[in-house]
Amino acid sequence: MHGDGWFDEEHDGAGTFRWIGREATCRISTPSSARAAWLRVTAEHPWPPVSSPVLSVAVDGCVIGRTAVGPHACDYLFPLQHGGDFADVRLSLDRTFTVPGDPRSLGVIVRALEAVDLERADVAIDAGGWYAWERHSYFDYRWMAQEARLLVPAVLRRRGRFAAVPMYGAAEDGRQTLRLLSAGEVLLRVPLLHDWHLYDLILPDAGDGVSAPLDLTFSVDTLLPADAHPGDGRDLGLAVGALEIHDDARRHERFRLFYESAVSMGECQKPVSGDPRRSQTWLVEGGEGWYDWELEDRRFRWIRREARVRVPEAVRAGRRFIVVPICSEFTDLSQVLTVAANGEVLAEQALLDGWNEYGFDLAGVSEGPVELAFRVNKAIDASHGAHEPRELGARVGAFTFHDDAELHARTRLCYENAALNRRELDQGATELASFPVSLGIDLFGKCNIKPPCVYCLWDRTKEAEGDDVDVAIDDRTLEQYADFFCLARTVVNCSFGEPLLHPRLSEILDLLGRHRKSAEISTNGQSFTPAAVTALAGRNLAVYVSLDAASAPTYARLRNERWHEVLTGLMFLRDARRKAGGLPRLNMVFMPMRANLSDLEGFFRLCRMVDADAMVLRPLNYLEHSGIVVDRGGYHFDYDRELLTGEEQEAVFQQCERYAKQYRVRVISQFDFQSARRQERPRGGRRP
Amino acid sequence: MTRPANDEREVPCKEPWQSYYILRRGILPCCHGHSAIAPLSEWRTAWNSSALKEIRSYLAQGRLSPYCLESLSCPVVQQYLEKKRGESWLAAFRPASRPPLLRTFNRLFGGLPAKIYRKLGQ
Repeated sequence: MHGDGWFDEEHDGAGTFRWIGREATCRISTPSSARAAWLRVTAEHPWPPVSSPVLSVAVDGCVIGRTAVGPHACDYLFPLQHGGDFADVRLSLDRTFTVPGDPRSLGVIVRALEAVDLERADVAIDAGGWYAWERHSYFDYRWMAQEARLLVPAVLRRRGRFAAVPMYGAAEDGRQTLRLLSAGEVLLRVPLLHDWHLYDLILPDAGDGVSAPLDLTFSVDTLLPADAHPGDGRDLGLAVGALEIHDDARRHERFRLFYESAVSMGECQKPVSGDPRRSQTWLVEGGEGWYDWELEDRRFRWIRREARVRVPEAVRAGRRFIVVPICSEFTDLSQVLTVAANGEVLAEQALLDGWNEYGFDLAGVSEGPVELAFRVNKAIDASHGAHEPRELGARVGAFTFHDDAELHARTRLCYENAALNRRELDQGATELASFPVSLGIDLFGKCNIKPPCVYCLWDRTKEAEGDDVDVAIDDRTLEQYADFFCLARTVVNCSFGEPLLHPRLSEILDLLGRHRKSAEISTNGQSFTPAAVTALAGRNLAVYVSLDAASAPTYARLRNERWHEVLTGLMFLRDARRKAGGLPRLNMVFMPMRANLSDLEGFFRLCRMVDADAMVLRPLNYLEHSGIVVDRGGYHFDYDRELLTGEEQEAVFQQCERYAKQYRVRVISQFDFQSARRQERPRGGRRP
Repeated sequence: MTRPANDEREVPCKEPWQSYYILRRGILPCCHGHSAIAPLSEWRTAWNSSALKEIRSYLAQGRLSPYCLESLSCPVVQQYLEKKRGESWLAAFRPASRPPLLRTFNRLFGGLPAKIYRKLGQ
């Protein structure tokens, strides 16, 4: 109840507030248990010309604390020693100010004033040094400057030995250090990793019968430079999300392993250089007839009908072969590319529909810089690009120079096979001389999610696998597939099992890399370990992570309670990918169903946070009377009822379109399988 | 078999030409295939097996094969069935979604009523 000294209520973007003058009084109700009660005042002093005033707080005539009020909304906590049902609170300031045109003598803004019972509270209480909560990232968070205090009530503390705290390390060089103190004693001193991580900390033993809150102080040694947050006048040290107490030792161990691995590498924030898998790749610089770099599922530049570029001597470095990824929009091999080096025609070949790699031999081209010229016989028809004023010939990706004659031969053979396959398709041939351009493989038949995901047809599939259920398939098997493997442009793992658990994962990835396959691997994300992430980093493949959820409760409905382990792995995978030039590409899979629709926006935020290349919208397969009914995570999952109707799917697509723009996340819709949802495009026309 | 050069019918699905799945559960012509067309051990020969040639033959003529029509999880098949349902004289009597009572009835009889209904719809 407001007494004297309060001005009228006002509103701004952050909520309602009242100004107070030099002194203001009010009466608040207090908790019955006075032992653990605290008074929380949320206040700010947003008038920089006047230095911060000092706020004194008195209860029933006794001063219980003093604090300087900062320019941004912060919580200030004071011990409330009071026995009654109500407390008379008096707020006093040492100074006020006036602004032109306002007759009021203003002190500070008060946004909230309340008593908090730390004996009963089951959430951590901000106790000074924190700015207001912000809610536009995957984690809700608030910034602190150099130091901030948090009280963990006893009820909460007794829930477990570990505290999971999302924190955003702002320093890119990893040189920011966090100190965590309790009662003046340093509990922890750790270097902060760049970007968001879900730190899992060991708490001091609470002991039985402890009722006092745990008083934690977060302290960092450096603040962000002001130019890192232009337009924001606050001192920013660290962004911290909501603290969660848990008792899951496995979860703690997963974080510890990742964190120690990252820290022990020391230079974890520095980009990898000299990686042989990438050292020969050149992102075309400059040139005539080239447009700027763009990013879809890979980086590329559009070229006009004619384009040329000078490859510096240091890039070619005397290598004999060049691989050029090109994407043609023409489906009928009617677009023909002519490539010339230093004025001599190297090759002339029909371009395949979509992305393909084309290999050219530079044997006859003299040492030194090379002038490469590309010419296509036709550009995209203007009638198919009404909103595109540019002359567009084809999309061209990063060049790779190498000396591997076998690889060059394989690249040529893959192209010839794909071209033959296309011709046979166009002719409607039923017996094919060509081999498939996309090969589905079955790397590993065992899974670490037991029982399986609620919608998984695990038992039926394993029954169908019959005697082959335990057949080992690895890199040696793939080589035995001969032309089926060698001539395939794309290799997709379609196991009913978790491929990252494969004992020969590295060898398989090496083989795929040697053959420059466009490989796709789906994982449930629960097998991300430092070793698995290291094995994946820098590989030119697409990793699909099947999540279908953006929160622990939804994840538990579909899989199990290991959401935070997956989340931890994804954040470390993000760091590893950044070091390795964005590889592997990360696609986050979401199958919309009734159980997870509420997580859709959160999923986009998650994609953004982990730097995903795309969000993949995949349909929950239609099954005729699946008979799949599972109770899990407090949810009754009935497969048949989880399927969305056509109208509901459309609504999801529209939401995805909106979130894709808002969070700048690319969406790949697998509902578009074989253009099932799209207008058929004209033959020889541009992709819609 | 190849189709005449002047045949401009659109192939409804290119998967059986472009893709091939060598899996423990057998050889599949498509990621939505309802069952294997051959066991894993026959991966060399299944590519040009009679089963796969029949699938290609139907598709080359702009039609879905019996194998495809049994693969109900395929979006192409779903779209085809949806279109057929829309064209059926029964469509006028069909509610937007099947009422729960009918669903239960259908389940009790092992899905037979739905199959008859779909057959009529075609």
